[in-house]
Amino acid sequence: MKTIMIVDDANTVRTYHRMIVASAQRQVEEAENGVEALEKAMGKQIDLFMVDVNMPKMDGYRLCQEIRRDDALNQVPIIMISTESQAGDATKAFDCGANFYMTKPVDGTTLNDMVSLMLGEE
Amino acid sequence: MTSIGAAAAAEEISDADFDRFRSMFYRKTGIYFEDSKRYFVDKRLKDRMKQTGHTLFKSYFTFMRFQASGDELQSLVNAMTVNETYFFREEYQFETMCRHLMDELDNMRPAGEDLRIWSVPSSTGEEPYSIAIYLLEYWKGLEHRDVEIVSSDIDTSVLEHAKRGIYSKRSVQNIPLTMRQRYFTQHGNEFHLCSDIKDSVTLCLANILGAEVPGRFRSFDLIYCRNLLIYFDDDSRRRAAQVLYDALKPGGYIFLGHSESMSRICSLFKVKKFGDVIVYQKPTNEGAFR
Amino acid sequence: MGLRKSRGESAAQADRRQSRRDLTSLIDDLQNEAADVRRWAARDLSNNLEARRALLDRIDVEHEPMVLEALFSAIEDMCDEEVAGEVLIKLKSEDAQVRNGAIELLQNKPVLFASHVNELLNDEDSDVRIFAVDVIGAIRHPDAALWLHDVVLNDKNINVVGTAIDKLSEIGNSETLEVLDKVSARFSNEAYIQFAIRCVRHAVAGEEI
Repeated sequence: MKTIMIVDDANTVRTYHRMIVASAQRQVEEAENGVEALEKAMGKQIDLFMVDVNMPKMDGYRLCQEIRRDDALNQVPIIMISTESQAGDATKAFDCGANFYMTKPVDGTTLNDMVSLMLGEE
Repeated sequence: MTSIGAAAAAEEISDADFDRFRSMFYRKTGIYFEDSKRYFVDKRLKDRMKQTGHTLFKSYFTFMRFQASGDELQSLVNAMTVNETYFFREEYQFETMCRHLMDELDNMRPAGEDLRIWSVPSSTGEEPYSIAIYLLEYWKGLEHRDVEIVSSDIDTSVLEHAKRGIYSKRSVQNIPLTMRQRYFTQHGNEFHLCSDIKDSVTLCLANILGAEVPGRFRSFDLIYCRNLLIYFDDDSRRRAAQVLYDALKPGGYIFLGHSESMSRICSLFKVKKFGDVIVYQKPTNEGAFR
Repeated sequence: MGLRKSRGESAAQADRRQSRRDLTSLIDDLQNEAADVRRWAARDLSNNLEARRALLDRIDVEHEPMVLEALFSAIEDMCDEEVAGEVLIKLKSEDAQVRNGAIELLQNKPVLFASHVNELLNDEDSDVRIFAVDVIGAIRHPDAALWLHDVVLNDKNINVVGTAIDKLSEIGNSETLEVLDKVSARFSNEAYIQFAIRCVRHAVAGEEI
């Protein structure tokens, strides 16, 4: 069973993304911001992070940096999902350690395919 | 407001209303009520509805959500959280202190420097005295390192109670019998704390949001701030977190209550976990959170 | 060695600051290369109107999170109409923490925010409009639902509308349902918007998602 952590301050977005990615082989954890994500991830096996950019307390870029600094988490893939569509935003995401960048609203099939790829599923 | 008077029974809370309340409460406090807590939540919601003269959940929710003072939200938080003090409450935090934190702090600080602990609020003293007892019982480092325990509260009457150090059976029931006999004398139904423990805690009157606090309360290695911030509004909570951050030395730790989290308050602390126990640490490198 | 005996209340006062902190020195300290010094300067300048300019200016160049927190705390009670424009501009900052600081500040100032809400909701930058919706979703203001209705009916950006619908899950009312019928027609091919509308219907009217 793989675990995906969805990090977004909007409840509806978390629910929507959960609906897309959850399956019998995947379980989903949720967090409302970067601090909560790190708290919940501590001591757990997280296989993938799906991270929003604009969140209170700790934004997505900072969360990515913290994940990459953490000994236990730094190899976990990160998909950054953002409303921001400026050319530099994806670059910034990759600089912070994200593996993939998508803009909202996400296409469900694309998201699911990317999750599958990141989790190393057949 | 739609109501027929305070005596009218509040309507049942629908599943959708429960979801809506639960999402809002989670957003505000970080506390998420599982479905299994439904009875607990509904009972308290209906009680608050009755207290405020609402028979319909929707009208109560709108009232509570948009009230300018935020008083009803605070009342709701009070109702949804159990706040009871007794010795060794949330004991796993004292265990973590003795098993992990104190040795780490001991290694960080130069020889001869006291380790300082702040317990806020002191309430009637159970928490700071629990810290003292736990250290005496379980931390060998006391053989070579002095520890100072400071505890503060805004309420003079609870401070007086703490200074007296007289407790009920209920308050001490979590303390193992041999320890209880070591540190308390029993007089009827009262348990009198021994003077050595009472003398080991400095009790002060202070408001954590008061202007004088940042100057008076500094250079702590460990802070217990349990079940206080949850009762503050967002703004006060943020301000208090700044005070707590500044009160810690770099590398110092802070415990919150088991249902509390920095995730709704402040991002400056580093989250650390010892087993299942979450502790927050002020970064060691000059406080820069990189 | 062991537990220190209590020295009475004076023990907690032992750490009183030694040096006098005058305005000029503190403002200079805001530029100090040590983050701790800058943070303490901001803390000590809290609520000092004469320092407001310096604090606001520092926010624009500061990168240390712990200093930014202190800067925003310091100006919070000094934010009025005179500096509202500068706070609003910080919503456009490249730095997410600066944006967050501005959002939090506005959330605590519903009256100030209300006097600028139209300006924000009509900003050409869709991200600024999203931040305005975030503030609306958090503040206590009787017009919050009305503002959100206006956004979902009129904004052209799907993410702005999506954010507003999310907020209506919490603060929507009976009028929201009719509004959502129109929004549904506006974005009939957008799966996320349709899903979000169903969520609000569930929250407000108990409909199944």
